[in-house]
Amino acid sequence: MEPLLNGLIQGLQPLTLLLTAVGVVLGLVIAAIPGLTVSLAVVLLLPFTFYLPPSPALGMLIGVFVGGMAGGAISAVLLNIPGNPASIITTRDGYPMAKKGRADHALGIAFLASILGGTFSLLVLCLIAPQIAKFALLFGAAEQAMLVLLGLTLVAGFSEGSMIRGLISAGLGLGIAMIGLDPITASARYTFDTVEMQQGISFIPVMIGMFALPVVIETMVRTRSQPLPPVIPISNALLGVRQAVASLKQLWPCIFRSSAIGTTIGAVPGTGSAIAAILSYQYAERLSKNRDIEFGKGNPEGIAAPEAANSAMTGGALIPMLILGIPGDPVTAVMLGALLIQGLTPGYTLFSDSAEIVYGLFASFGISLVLLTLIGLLGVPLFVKVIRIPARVLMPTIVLLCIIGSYALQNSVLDVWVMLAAGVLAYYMRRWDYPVLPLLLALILGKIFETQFRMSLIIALGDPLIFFKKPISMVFVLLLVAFLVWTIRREFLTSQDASWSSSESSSPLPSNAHEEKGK
Amino acid sequence: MAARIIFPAVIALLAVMYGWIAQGYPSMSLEEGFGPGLFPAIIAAVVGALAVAEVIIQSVRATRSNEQFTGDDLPQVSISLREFVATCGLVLLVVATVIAIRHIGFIPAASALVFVLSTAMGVRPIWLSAAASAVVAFTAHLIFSGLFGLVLAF
Repeated sequence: MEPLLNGLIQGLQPLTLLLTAVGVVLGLVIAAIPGLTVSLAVVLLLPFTFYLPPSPALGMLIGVFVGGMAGGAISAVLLNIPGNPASIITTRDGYPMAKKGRADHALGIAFLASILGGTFSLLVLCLIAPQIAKFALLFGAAEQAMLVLLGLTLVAGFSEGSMIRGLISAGLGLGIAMIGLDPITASARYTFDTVEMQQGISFIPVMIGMFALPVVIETMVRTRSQPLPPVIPISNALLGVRQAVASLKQLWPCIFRSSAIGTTIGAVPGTGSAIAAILSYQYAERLSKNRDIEFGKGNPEGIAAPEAANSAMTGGALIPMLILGIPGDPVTAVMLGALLIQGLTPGYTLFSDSAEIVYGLFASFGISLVLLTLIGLLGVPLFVKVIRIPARVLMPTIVLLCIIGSYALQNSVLDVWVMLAAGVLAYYMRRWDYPVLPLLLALILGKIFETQFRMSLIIALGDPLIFFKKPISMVFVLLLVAFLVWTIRREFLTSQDASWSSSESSSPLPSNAHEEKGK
Repeated sequence: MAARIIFPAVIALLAVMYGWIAQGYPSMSLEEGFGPGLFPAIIAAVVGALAVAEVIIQSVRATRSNEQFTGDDLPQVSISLREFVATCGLVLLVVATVIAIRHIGFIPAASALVFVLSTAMGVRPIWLSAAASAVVAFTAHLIFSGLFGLVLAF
């Protein structure tokens, strides 16, 4: 109880409180603008954290995360354009409900579900994380090496595109992580006899480039795109909240179930909020007892389920990041970067040596949810105006922040070039269906993986069976093999289905089938 | 379709070069502490094999797709001229800005970057774009240099 109270004190410090509020507002605003994402918001704020103490820095980032997950629903409901990938499914019922003149009610449900989903995941995080962290104490070098390998494979397998492409992406990240001084013998590798390269490629500029520049290039490419559809007006946001609270009696089983799904999915590295939202929507559709309105035509559960799930994902994603150092999604990857920059190493030691920072983060998470209730619900009329801002207006500022942010890390122009190269690489990787998250994760974890892998072999006098002899390591290896077999089987069956359906029909799929698949 | 084959082929080639360089580092024996060459050699082998597998998979798909249309197997992946121009333009602009910061200082160079980019993205009227660019550059300087003490000299 004492660490929680200390954390709460940390979270309530004026600077932390202020920056958490700034984070929530920025998260809501950026996620509400079509074309801008939560990961972009977090990565743009990352350079500011270099100059802040840990608690305010993490408070700001968690504020963006919480605000961003809820903010995506605003444009999903009022414009039929999801503010972030997790809100894609919210458009299915949110927009039809808004078109029937119940936009206030739809937004009220979305925010209420987000707040309750986030609260559920925070409780799970507070209860479970310290216990798992104690278990992580048992991990030696072999266990840590296999855990990182398992994490990388999960992220590669769950990412968009095929698993082979995910693994190639992870391999590229590991390859880049090898640049610089070898962590054990301090010999230079792939430095081409330059002093600058001896420090290796920092993951911060790579992260900034990979999350921000593809968004800029995409916006440049479609500058002269169709104008946004008209925004559905809202009349009384507070009335919508009251209506949402009134319908809570019917919605709570759906919100509770979706929160559990979101938290669980979030805890599995690489799965992401979109999967949590889609899965919880499917369950809501299957198990719903409120069928007065059909799903897809404005059913309130169709809004509550994805919004509760994507907010609940936040707490779930923090579990592997804080305890094992394996981030579950792009936003927690950036948060891991912020932790490392502050000199903090994720793992059990974080819970014992820096308890006030960890529990301060939990407190900031809770405070973000309270602020979301206040700012999100009262500020809806403002956010309705904000979603009309074209993303392209903000792109020049984003590019400038990318340059400054990558340079600010160690006052190095090389980092600016790294950011630029990473951004271009990420754009074309996405274009050709190669996920970028495995690359980034491998770059962050590469040195740790190599060190633990080689240390295990040295300890075992060169016996590679060391990874199978230790029980926990063995469990990780078995999980890894099971996951590989499952993914290969799934991809094989999917490709069989695709070729079967194409041979059944000689004509191309109807255009709406492609759209449905894209969702 | 070509990009889907060329990209992994380039990665396979890079993996060969990466592995070849790794041969120059002390590597595999216990006496050498499983030296710095071990891990890069493993990575090169694995990535190379995966990239070759991807080339084969995509080649087979390309051959099949010539025989029959396979629905979702063939998204448009060729690089359009517009994308190429946008990428090159952005790269040149960032490079020019970094060089310009060294010679004319941060605020003028950053203002120019924001102005050129916002004008290219269709922000109108021009005077508003210019004024906003100056404000953005000045504010960034104020925050990072004034507040955080970062020397924006590049």
